[in-house]
Amino acid sequence: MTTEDTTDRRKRLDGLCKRISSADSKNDLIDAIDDALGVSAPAGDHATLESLAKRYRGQCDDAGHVRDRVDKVARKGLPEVWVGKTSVLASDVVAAASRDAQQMSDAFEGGAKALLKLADSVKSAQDQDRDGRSKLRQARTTLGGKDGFFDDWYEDDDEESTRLKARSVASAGVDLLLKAAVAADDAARAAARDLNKWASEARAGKLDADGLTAADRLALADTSNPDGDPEMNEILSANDLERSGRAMDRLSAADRARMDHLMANASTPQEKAYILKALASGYSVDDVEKFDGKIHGKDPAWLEDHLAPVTTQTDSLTDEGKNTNGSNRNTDDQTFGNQRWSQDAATCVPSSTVTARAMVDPVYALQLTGGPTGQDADPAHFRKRLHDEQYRMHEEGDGDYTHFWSDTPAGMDSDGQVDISNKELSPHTGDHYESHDMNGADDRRDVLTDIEKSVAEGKPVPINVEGHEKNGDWVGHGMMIVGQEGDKLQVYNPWGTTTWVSEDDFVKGDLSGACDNRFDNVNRVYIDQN
Amino acid sequence: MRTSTVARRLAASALLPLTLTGCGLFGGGGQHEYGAQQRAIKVRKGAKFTLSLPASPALAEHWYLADPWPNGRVLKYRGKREDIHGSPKGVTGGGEGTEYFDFTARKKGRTTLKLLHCPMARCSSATEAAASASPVPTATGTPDDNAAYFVYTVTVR
Repeated sequence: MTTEDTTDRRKRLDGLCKRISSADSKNDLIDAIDDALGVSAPAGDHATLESLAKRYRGQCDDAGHVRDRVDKVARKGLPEVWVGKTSVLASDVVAAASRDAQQMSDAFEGGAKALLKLADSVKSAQDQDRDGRSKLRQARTTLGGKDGFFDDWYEDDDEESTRLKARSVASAGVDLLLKAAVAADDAARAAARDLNKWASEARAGKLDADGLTAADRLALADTSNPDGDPEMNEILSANDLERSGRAMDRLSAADRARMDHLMANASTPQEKAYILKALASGYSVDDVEKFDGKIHGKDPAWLEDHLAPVTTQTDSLTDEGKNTNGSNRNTDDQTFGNQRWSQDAATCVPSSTVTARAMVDPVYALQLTGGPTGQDADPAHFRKRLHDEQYRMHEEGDGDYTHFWSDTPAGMDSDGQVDISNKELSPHTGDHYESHDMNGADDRRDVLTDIEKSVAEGKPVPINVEGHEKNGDWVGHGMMIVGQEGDKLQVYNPWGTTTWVSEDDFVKGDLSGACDNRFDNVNRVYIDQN
Repeated sequence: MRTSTVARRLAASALLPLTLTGCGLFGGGGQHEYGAQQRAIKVRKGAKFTLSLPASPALAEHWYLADPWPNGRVLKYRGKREDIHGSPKGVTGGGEGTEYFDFTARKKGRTTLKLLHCPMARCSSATEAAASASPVPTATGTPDDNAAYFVYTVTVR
């Protein structure tokens, strides 16, 4: 399925609706009807989709039985036994296995639902498209053959009446084709979003490193920070799991033994997950060892404070309405002590990049929160380091200053943003960042599937929004999409908060909920668009 | 074209004497403008003065006159103005701005006036902030990224 095709079909049919309803000659109307009939019908075989959905449902039942059996084992009261190459508690593994089986069951159930919904939508869109084509053919038959060159110059009353009747029927027909194309396109995108999400949540299998046991993989993939909803605060993203597996396999035997030793000696599952995240982020075993020297023995709350810039609270998805400035009432403050992960001066672009890097690179996060030793817990010192880093990145991206001789940042252009994204994020996510201008809802709809996939894998997506001050002056702001659930996107604003906005609002370009009502257009997205 | 921080600092040092000269020429004229830091103000009866506060568009920074309003017999509130400049199109996150609150000292006496600082969309009016479940603190330092009340004491001589 190529998203460009469905978007193009929508665009072409939208244009043809206008051409047909305004065709003021027989020949123009015939050409427009022929063009509409030349647009392909919505693709997809609903019977195949339904049968696939049934197979998923069957797997869902099997996964449910597995979960029930694992739960029985858990209830028996396991002795304190350490298992796996990285030494995890057997009881933790059983608990993780139960959750994993539940997630697997949920994933099959969710996948089946997504496919069934798609099957229904495809069938209904194809029926609608067929009705539309029938009307177009009827109109085309009414019109007969095309007029010759001179005939086309004059239209008598009868001919005009015939053309207007045919135009009315053809307009109804092409409207049906457009509605069918929109419904099929929306359904395909919703199914892609849900299936991508479920695929990214099949997490344990992504950690494909030789020598790690199933127990290790389950426990690592299942480990979350202590605050908020565990499923929205997992330490290792799908991308981390994949990258760490590949990194482990590339290590020399000696380095692999050192990594195994570090992980086996970790004092909590969270410490172990952060050690692996550091490796996934691209650091050498020497660096990972130094990093572990700073976090070893710290409790999960300390690790979360110092290494997770963004925590998603359990009630974060609740819609509490909007403030009078258009911002969402329900936002999560992202803080270290009494200081927010917020921008200083006009540095929204580098500041959101600093936070995004800290989300994917725990070694960097600790340098900011804990300083060179990792042990500095003073939030004021964190603020100073965060400020310095925002300004360093502003300089790196060749950002503007208020005056030639000023040190006060005054924004950054898209070249600078691409530059710092590729320098600061790419080494730790493996993605390449390109700037994409968003020239309307179609462009944003088009990029949405790539955004969903990227953030589901744990890779933040930089975006720009724009709007106007009351006096008409242009103003732009840089933010980061960092999560996705259902039909909502989680946005980090370098004003120090995260919140959720609907995908519909994103397509419309309205991200006022994540900032304020000046910003009514998402004008740029930075992503490696597939 | 990239201008290094060092080059900008050198330029700033070169311009410093000129700036100081400018201050000497015009500063004594008494512009009667006060910022966020100077919150104990003394003015003569009949004088007009202005509170001039940073309102960066990049930080969605706004100020509101909050309850209790200044004693109307001591001070007359003449209104709020703003001078906002966006950034050149395509330069994300720039822009500068100032909000001004204009007053006239009417009669000898002392009164307080309270401004609400709302940065980063943390609040959007004095009424909304007063009704908020989490009380807004009173600032003791300079404006930062938290909503806060700035309380000024104005003495009219």
